[in-house]
Amino acid sequence: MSARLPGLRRALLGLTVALAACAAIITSMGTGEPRGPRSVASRERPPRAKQDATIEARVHPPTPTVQTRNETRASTGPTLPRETPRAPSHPTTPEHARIQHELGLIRQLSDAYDRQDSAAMRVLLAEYRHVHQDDPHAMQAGYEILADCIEDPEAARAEAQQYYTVERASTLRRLIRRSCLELD
Amino acid sequence: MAESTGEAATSSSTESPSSEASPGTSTEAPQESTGEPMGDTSSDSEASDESGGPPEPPPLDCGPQGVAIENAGPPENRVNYVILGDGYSAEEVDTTFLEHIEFAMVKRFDDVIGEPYLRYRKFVNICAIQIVSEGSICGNSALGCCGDDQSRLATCDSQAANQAIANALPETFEVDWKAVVLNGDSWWNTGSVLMLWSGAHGDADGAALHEGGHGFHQLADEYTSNSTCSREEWEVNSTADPDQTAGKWDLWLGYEQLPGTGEQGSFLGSRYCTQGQWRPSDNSMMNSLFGDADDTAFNAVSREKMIMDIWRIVTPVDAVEPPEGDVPAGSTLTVHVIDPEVIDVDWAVDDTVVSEDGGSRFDLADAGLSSGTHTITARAYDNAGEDLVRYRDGGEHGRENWSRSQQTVTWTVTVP
Repeated sequence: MSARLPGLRRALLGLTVALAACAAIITSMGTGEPRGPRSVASRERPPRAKQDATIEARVHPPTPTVQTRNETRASTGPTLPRETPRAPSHPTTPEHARIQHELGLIRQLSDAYDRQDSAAMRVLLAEYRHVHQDDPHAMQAGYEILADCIEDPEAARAEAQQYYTVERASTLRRLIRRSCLELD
Repeated sequence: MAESTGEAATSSSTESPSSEASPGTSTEAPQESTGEPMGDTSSDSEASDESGGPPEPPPLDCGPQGVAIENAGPPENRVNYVILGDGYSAEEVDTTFLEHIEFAMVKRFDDVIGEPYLRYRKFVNICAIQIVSEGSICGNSALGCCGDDQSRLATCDSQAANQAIANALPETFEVDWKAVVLNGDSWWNTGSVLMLWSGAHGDADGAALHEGGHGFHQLADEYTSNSTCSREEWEVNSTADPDQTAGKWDLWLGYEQLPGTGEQGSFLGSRYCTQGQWRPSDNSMMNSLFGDADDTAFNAVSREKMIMDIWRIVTPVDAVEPPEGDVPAGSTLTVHVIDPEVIDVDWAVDDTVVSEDGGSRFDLADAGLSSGTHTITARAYDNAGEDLVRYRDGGEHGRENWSRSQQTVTWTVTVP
C-alpha cells in the first residue's frame, strides 16, 4: 500500500505521525501529574531514573544550592560536587515551626522520662503548656502523669488509671500503664 | 516537614520481601474479622514450639473496622502503628485506601530504603482503620482533612481522628504511632504527633517514611532553605558542631553505609539552614525522599535512632516456657523472642555460657548437669552489629533504651 503512495503523500504522512508522537510525549510530560501508586501486585521496584526525576522536578521546582561534598567536615571521602541541586519543597511557615518545636519537646520529654528525671520533665512541661496551649493528643497531661508516677507512683495511680481509660488514642498510654499501673 | 527534590534515581530491581505477602488489592475482601495480615510477617517464622521457633502469632485484632496490614505479634509487646483514612467512600475504604497503604508498605520494607523497618518488621503491628467519609477531603470528609499548596502541610481534625481510634480499636490496644492517609494526590504531608500523608501522590511511599521520621522518630529535615543558624538543636541528625557533632554521631564519622547513604560525616546544610548546621550524610530519606536511589535510605544516625525508638516500646522476649523459677530436671526451657533472626539467645548454667546464640530451646536432659541445684539463664539480646548501633551505653536521643534490647530469664533446677 505505501509503495503506491506518491512521494509527497508519504512524506506528509510520515510528518503527521512524527508530530503526533511528539505531541503525545509532550502531553504526557507536561501534565506534571504525580505518578500513580505502583501496582500492589507488582512488588519489584521498577526502574525509575531520568524520566521520573524530570517529573519530580516539575512537581517540586528545584533551585540551585551550594551544597557539595567538599563541604564535608570530619570525613574522608572523595570531594565530588553534587550535580543535582536540591531545594526545600515547603516553606518554613509558623506552623512548621510550631510542629517542629512540639516534636522537640516530646523528644526531650522522652529522654527525661528515660532518665527518670521528673524535674527536667516539669521544666519542659511548663514550656509545652505555655507555647502549645491546645493539646489535642493529651500529650501534656500524659507526660505530667508520667512525671507524677516517677515521684510517687501510688499517689498518681488514680489519675493514671483515668488517663488510661479515657485517652484511648494517646501514644503515652503504654508508658503510663508500665510506669503507673503495673507497680511491683 | 516535607522534602527536597533529589537526584535522578538509579533503580534497584531488588524484590521487596512484601512480594510474598498477600496482595490486599481492591479485589480482595478486607480481613478485619479474621485478623489475617495483608503482610504476613510470620511467613518465615512458621516454626512451631516443637522446633523451638516462635509460635504463629494469633490474629491481630484491629477492631471491626480494622484491617491487619502487618500482624507481627502480640500488641502488648509490639510497636502498634495505626493508620486511618480520610476522604474514602464506603467502596473506596475496601479498595483505594488499602492500595494507598500497600503502596507505602512496599518502600517501607524495601531492603535498603526501608531499613531498619525491614530488619525489625516483626516488631511493628500495623492496623488500617476503614473510616467511611461522606465526602472528599477538603469537603465533607470524616476527619476533616485538607491542606494547602503554600505550606504543603496537610491538616486534620485531631479530635475526630482520636475519637475514631478510640471507637475502632479494642480497649486494650495501645497505640504507639498514629497516622492519617488522605485520599488525594496533592503534595500535602505533615510529620507531627498525628502523621499525615497524601495517599494518591506518586511519592506517597517516600512521604510516609519521611513524615514518620519526624512524627514517630523526631528526626530533623536534613535539607536547606536559606537560613544561617548557629545553635545546637535537639534532633540527633543535625548539629552545629561539625567536628564532634555534639556527641550525636561522632562514632559514625567515616563509616560507609553501603548500600545506603554512603559516607557518614558532617555535611554542611541541614534543618533549613545553609550555614551553621551539618547533616550526617550527603543524601538521605530526611533530605530527599524522592525516587528509589539507595542514598534515599535513612542514614546510619537516623537508623540507630529508629532502632532505639522501637526498643523503647518492646522487650526481646514475648514469653517463656515454663515460667521462671523452679523447674523439674529434664524440662525443656523455651524462650519465645520477637524474631530469632534479630534476637540471639545465650544459655548459661551457673553463670557459664554453655550455648552461645543457642536458639530458643534448652533441654535440661541433654545439659549434663551434675547433682545439685543449678541456675539456668537465657540472655536474649538484639544481635545488631556496629553497622546499626554504636551508642550502647545510654544517653540522650533515646539511647537509654538500648538497655531494653537485652533481657535475662532465670530458672532453677535441682538434679537428684
